[in-house]
Amino acid sequence: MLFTSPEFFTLLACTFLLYYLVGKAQLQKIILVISSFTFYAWNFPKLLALLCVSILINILTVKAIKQSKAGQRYWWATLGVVINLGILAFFKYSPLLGKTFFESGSSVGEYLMGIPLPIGISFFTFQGLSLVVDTYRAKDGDDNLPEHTGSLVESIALYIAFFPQLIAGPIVKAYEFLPQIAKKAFRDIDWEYCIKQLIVGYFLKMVIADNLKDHTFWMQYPYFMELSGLNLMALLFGYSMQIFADFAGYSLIALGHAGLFGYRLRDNFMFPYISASFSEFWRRWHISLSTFLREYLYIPLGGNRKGKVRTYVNLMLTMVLGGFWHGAAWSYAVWGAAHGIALALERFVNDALPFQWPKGFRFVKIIFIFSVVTLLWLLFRLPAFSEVLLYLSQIKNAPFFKGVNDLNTAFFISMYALPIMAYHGWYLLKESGSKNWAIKLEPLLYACLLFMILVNSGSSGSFIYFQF
Amino acid sequence: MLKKIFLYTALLLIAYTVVLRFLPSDIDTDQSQWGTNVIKARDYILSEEDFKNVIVGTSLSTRLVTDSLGDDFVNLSFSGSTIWDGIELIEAREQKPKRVFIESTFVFKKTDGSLTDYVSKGFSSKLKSTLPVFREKNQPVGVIKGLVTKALKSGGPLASYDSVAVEINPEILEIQSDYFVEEYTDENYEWIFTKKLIWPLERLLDQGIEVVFYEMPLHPSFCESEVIKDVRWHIDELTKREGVSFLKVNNCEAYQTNDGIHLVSHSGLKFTNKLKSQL
Repeated sequence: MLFTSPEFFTLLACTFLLYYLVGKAQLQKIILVISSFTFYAWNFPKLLALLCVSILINILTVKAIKQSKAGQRYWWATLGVVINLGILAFFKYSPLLGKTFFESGSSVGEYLMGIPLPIGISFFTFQGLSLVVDTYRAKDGDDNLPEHTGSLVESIALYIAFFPQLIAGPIVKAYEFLPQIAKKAFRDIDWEYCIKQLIVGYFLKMVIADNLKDHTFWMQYPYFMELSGLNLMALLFGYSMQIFADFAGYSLIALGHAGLFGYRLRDNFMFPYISASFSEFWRRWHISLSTFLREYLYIPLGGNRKGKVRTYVNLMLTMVLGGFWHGAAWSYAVWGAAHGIALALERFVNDALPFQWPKGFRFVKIIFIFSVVTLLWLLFRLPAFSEVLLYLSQIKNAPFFKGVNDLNTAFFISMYALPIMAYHGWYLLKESGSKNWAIKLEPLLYACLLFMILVNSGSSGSFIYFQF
Repeated sequence: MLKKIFLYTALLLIAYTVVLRFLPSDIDTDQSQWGTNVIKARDYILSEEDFKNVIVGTSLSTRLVTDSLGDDFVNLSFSGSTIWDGIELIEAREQKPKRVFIESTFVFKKTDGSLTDYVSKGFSSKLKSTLPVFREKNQPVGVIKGLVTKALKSGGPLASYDSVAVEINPEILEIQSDYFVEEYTDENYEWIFTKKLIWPLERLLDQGIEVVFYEMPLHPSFCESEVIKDVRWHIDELTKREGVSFLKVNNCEAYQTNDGIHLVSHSGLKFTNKLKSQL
């Protein structure tokens, strides 16, 4: 079910009404779980079974960890991690294994390639992992989980299936979400916060991403072979804007909807395109994934505590696995590896430099980081590595300008990129101390965004991160 | 804060409604393929004009220069879509044309009917038919583009994209060939020529509308494909049986396409003139 569909708004309205009418914590949890299951099962009811199995496994594992003695807790937690990763690996990576290691036409290969990818699996299995690990790490039973079995089941089902963030994040950690489960009252809703998140989120998705997608459609092979150099560069820039608007939009909508039900999810994006380094970019982009990988992978691997070489290895490993998390294709691993190399190189150069970068140099660094990040998004857009190389060679070899259509594309991409740049600029303005002036203009700005949602939305399309 | 946001939004909507009244009516506000289709379809549904001749086609027929055919022609050909969308739109509009031209080349392309539903059903389409400010045609970004293009055109004609590129990329030709190499079964033909096409055709004829089938030129290798020859034979039989006209293309090599199926602009004009001479 799409956040922009009439069915979703109907479900949201009914859930909202019932949720605040019942007024009891337990019933509120049940209502949210039923709504979340409806939301998930809407287009593919069969996939609900997998979500339920995932929830059940995590309930059993958590129960076992809680009831076991110190020595056994480790093994239950390990088993929980292995099962969660196993589910993810089976459904997400079997087609890739089938394609890579088996001849076409072989029965095993065909079987593996025929396994469907359940929507949102990367998100809910990672939340399952967080639950198992956080329960294991909790000291003196301080795991925020209820003792009563019925209540435990409801809480875990709600944590994993909560519909605002179920299929495309943000990835919510158990220790952030579970303490929030309690009775919620209508009067406690922070309407201003929710409406602001929803306006910006829907603007980014419906006005920016949905309009840009109709242009970046032509980045597919072989259509891009017909385009001019100007067009190819404009489309690549447009895709960079689109992927930000699409995913940041989804995350903000999720934050807004969660807020309506009394839950605060952490920001997933913090103006990433003003980053002046790769490490800053990863502190601002898909924050819930990068913090997850840091807390549950990079630090357990040793982080930066085991010498320089090991730090670089840990960075590379974390980023390659982070790349693979996005999709079952080698291009995602290459994308992750490229970011890993960039992070390692950056750390090496910063350690080796005998001076600090001058402050005025920041703008040049922002442009550089943005350009590299944008170039690497090609690995997201084009599934085959050979197509990525062909696209890049076409930028160099195709005529720079072919005709009036080039200007059309460049015009639309500039028009829809402008708000994204202004959005980042707005943040810099507020940060630079022009806060009062900026705050006074806020109602008018939000009104402009709402106006554009009403009169300038593009054709409805899926969120890019649904495929992950 | 929230009250201010909603109040300003209402004021912006009112102000923009006023601005729209002063905009030139001939600006081209298309932004994308889908947007172009929706604007064209909605214009047809909402227009009070008496269109006597309606062209129904796929993206192939979008290359016809409709203006040169006359004021009472409207072209309901949609890129990325099918003839069924145009036929559904004719059925959805109360005022019927006198003559309908149906492109016969891509009859096997399927539609989900989403375009007609999108412009004629539901709350959103009712809102858009009542309040022009919400129509795709009036989207601010499209309007700005239309005004800029109009200003630039006043300084002389702009170079057309495909007036330069006429060499067809072999990979694109390969993709386009999929339709022509697919083997359609007898059941496929039976479904199209005894049911799917017959129902709307007979409804149009019953309402006293004259129907003309026509072919669009293709790359010569596609023109002689088995699918095209079979479809031509079936349409021939059908038109003889129903007593309607069928305009065939027998000289594809006289036209140029940019991808094997879509005519370049000068060929589009040439074929439109030929069509006009046959009417």
